[in-house]
Amino acid sequence: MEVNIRISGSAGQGMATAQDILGIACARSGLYAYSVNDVESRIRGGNNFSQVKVSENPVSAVDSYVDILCALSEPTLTEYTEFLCENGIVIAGFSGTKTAVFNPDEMAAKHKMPKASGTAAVAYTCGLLGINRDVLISSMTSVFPEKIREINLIIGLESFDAAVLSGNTTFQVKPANQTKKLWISGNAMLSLGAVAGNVSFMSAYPMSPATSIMTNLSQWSSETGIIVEQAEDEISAINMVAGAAYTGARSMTASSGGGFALMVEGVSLLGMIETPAVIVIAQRPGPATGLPTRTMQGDLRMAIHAGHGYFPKVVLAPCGVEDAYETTRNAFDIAEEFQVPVIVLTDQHLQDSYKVIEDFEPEISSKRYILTAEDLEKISDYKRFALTENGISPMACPGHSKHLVIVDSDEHDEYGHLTEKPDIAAAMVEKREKHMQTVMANAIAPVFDGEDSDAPLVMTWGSTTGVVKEAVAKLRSAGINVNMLVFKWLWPLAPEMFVKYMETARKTIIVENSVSGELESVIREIALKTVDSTIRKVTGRPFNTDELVRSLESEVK
Amino acid sequence: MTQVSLDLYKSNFERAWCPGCGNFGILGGVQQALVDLNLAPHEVIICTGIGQAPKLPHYMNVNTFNGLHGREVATAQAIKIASPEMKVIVHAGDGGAYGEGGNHFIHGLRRNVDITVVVHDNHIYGLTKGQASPTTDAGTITKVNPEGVASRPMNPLALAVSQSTAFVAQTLSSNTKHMVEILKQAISHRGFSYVNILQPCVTWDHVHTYKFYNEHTYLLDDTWNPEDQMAALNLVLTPSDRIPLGVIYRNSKSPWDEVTHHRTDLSLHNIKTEQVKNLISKFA
Repeated sequence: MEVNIRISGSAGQGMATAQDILGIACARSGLYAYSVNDVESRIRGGNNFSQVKVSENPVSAVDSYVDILCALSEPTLTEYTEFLCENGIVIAGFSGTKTAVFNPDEMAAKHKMPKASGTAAVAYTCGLLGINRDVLISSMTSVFPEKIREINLIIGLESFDAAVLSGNTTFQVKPANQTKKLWISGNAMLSLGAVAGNVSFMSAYPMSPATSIMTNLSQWSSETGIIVEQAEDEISAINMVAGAAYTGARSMTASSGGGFALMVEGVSLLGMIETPAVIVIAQRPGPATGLPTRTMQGDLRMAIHAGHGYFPKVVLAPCGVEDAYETTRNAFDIAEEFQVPVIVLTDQHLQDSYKVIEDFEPEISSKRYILTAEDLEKISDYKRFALTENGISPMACPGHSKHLVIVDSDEHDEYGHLTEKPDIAAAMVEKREKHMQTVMANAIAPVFDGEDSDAPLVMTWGSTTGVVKEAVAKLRSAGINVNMLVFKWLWPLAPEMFVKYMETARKTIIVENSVSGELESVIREIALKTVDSTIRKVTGRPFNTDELVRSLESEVK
Repeated sequence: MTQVSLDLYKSNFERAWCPGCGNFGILGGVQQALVDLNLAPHEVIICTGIGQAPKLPHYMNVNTFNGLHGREVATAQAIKIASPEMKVIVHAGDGGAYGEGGNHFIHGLRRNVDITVVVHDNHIYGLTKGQASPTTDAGTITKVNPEGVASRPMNPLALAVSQSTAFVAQTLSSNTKHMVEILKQAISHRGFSYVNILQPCVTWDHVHTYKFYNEHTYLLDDTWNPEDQMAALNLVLTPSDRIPLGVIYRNSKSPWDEVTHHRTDLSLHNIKTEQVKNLISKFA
């Protein structure tokens, strides 16, 4: 049983709070849920919605249709009614809304708390879903600050009771299990991954949809000791990151495509001085300002090619809310072990989506790859850019010993001093080439899911993975055999990492949420392989499971 | 404690400056100031960008971050935040500090991280061959300003004083004694210390010569009160043929680390599983 709930209204009407009540209630009921947030770039007004899919089974995407529409504003009622499925119901309170089964505005007004119609609507929804009354109480208690908790509880419970009394059991979802669950966003999981990756310094300039990362780390600063400095611009942010990283602090920044564009010279600097750093690009549609609160997988090429000159760099893309933790934590280890900038590509969809996931035991990065004070004691003549077999030179932190640490954005000798000597320049080019080969040798192959057969191969990456997984599962349960290949490590890539899967498949299909087909073009470049069929979306909204199932069905038939 | 000797800082690295360049004097002055303050090379990080001035740390033995043009102030602040026990000094030209890096300079004044920013101000772009800098006089003829520079020169001292910068001083590259004294005070002062060093460009500027500065500069004497912000502003804003050298303004406003209570070596940061678990539990 899957129920798609849309909570809609204008900005400032408390949709995020309503969504949280529902999500936490699901998690504490043993239900699964996934939400997509569709918002305009404004603080008040407009048409916004949260689409939440609730199910007894794990979900990682939403559908385009609506079973329960909680419309908190009249324009959203008008606009979204067309998405209601046949048995769908409306919770709304406007004059002339004859179809609504419940009027949340009336309930809120009755208690002289007009702002609480979101509470009323979502509590009524919880009643329809068959959520336990005590769970709703605990969920609302967690969400509301003390000042407004009591009145919201009164309104919520009266609405909940009305739903139970209505006797409508159409949307009841039976919890599958009672394992401990979390209700968490992609940006929070990414931020937790950074904490677990031992980040200690972040500098960033606010830009949607990346801002949530600096907010999270700032909120956790006092209990973790992580320093977050808001920079005056993105250029400052990346150059601060380079400075902190030079001292040995695990450092990061985050922005969207436009802000990252300003950082690109800094990425090249990190390459030249072989200094680790993690850079999150939370993609949104461009060009230029584009659609600030919307989503797109359009900056993979930009990430791969960012920075003038030839130097090693790694590009990773978390493939969902859970993976945002692991991939980000790994990004810090990869950056330090290989002394490279690591770009983590997310997008508005992943950043702002919430999901019910299983509670987990966190693994943290405890290994360091920099010279300790004891190591440095044993070195008589320290050279930051010593020529080595694998192109990676042992990294010392300035001030940890008497050895001097010298780095230069100019071409430099082994000590780090600028030079124009042709033989040294050539030796350093060769060093960076070896460095790249070492990184390549440690690349992580895409994840294959399927059988050893010539079944059609569906390829994807990043935030689109969740919806592709759901769609593939639906095809399989309908008896259509499809294999799946998910790219998490996107650069550097070698053909042997994925070509075998493409060659076995009778048809290859790639699903990307972009106009440009970024991964498709990278595959063509790296492996000289054409993908048979592409499924793209260009509206700035993520794929929905039902629409992707239809697209895939027509491709594999 | 043993006294640090000048030899520790000496380097034989070939210097790629024009003969007679004011940078030679500054290079000697910085080393002398650090020795006088008994700071060893491994306790100091010099952070620079691109241009003639930023080559300076290569010509001495010291920890060096020679990064991107104009970004030295941004980088230096993070270096200091992440390694608070180190002395962090920026050497930038007028192009890097006031032009390419102007935004970082302005916000550095606000942030008040405990670093020292030394600007080698020769009123010209040296390494790119003589174009106007933010401090070039209006009307100056250059290859890209055949009709003369249209923009008025920037007044970085007035900017710094107006923003209540922790320490604002001006000195002259050829007055070694004065320069060393000013640099020592700047490096010792808590907060964002800014020193503008007037420096002739022997190759591209035939107006602001050593002779010109000898004739037009004067030393602020004991009667000058550097804590009087309005007097300082008046001093640097009033048009005059005479250029003041000395500590123009200073205050003892709390630097960044005192305001934020952040003063740990971040390279030693070591997150514990328990801390991550506690954060995760917020989402249960």
